[in-house]
Amino acid sequence: MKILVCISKAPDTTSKIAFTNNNTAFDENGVQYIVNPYDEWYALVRALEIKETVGADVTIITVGPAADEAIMRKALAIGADEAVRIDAEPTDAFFVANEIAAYANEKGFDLVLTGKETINFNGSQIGGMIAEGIKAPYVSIASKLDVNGASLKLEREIIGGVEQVEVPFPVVVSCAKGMAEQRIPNMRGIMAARTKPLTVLSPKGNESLTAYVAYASPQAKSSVKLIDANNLDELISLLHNEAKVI
Amino acid sequence: MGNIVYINANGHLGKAAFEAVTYAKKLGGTVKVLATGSLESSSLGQLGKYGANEVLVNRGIIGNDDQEICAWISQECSGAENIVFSNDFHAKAIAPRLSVRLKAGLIAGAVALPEADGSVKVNVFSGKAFGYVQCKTAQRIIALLPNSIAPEETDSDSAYKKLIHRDKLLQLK
Repeated sequence: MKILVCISKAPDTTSKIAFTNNNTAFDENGVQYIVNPYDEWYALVRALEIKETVGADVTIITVGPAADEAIMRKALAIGADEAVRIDAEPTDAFFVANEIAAYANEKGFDLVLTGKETINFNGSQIGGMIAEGIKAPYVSIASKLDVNGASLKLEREIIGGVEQVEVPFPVVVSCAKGMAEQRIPNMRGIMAARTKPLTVLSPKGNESLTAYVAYASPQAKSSVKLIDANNLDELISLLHNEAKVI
Repeated sequence: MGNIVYINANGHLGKAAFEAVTYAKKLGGTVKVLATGSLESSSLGQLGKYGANEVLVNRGIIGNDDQEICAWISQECSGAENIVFSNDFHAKAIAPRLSVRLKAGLIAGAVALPEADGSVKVNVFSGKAFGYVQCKTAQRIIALLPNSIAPEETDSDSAYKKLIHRDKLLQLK
């Protein structure tokens, strides 16, 4: 079985989120990048578990500049067999997904795994776009995945319950919490990652359809409002109109 | 201007469906709802109160097959400027596919109506900031984050008069 795991970089969860260039770009000063947690903890680790149980070749892929190779080496240290970097700025989800789909179409993977979203853009777009690009079924936000011969058995949480799905290969799956547990790379893995193949490919020249034109920070939290215990009307009004929770 | 709203009508119509129709109505122009699922047409008629001009139900699509639903929406949305979803797990499966199929920009997780420059506010960095996304395409897909805008009933009498119910069976490849 051939598995492709899509990897994205994301700012460390403890990073200060600030913007520069008149709030049109993310301020990367002092920011340490990590493998997007959904890509690493769930998609990559589940791929490695499949490799260990039924056998598979696990390739990781990212669209990004050379600086992204540090996070790719970490993914290789966790256990991926080889890495592919499409040498381009990831301008939007459409661009990234089409570049990955073009590679997947050339190489013919049985299973393409992504995280359910990145923690910086929270778009949940890449998996569905790749699925359309390679004309494969797509199961979004799956929390359980088992190989069942020539098909996959999956579970995903839906409103009011859990949906069980069985799909034939090839298939694209976005992975959510519950799929696997985080793995820490060991010293042997870190040493081996240095010599594992990392191929750099030129982009196919796909276009982007969207652009972030500005960013803004949320308003600072206001102070606590104390409402008189006898003034229920005002409390209800604030909860309804201001907090919008009822 | 024409707007399309996709509603998954298996079970009951939730608040998110009314929010999506309200949002589409506020974008301006007509609102045509495309629905799949088993919900009765009379229940779907409630969407007229929130600004739907037309509701088109495809009874041929029974389950949640996003490929099938995407194929149907792409057939029905020519000429529509905006295609609006509620950003639930259906939208997360269908909208990206539709974006590739139509080559229409996708704005996922919108939390407000478009700004004057056409950009749409979305949550980024896991809610630690907002981003403003602009589409480079004439047709755009907007997945509205639930609870971002309040559902608003329009002049219900006039909306109902304009509402057309059509149950339609389609055979899709």
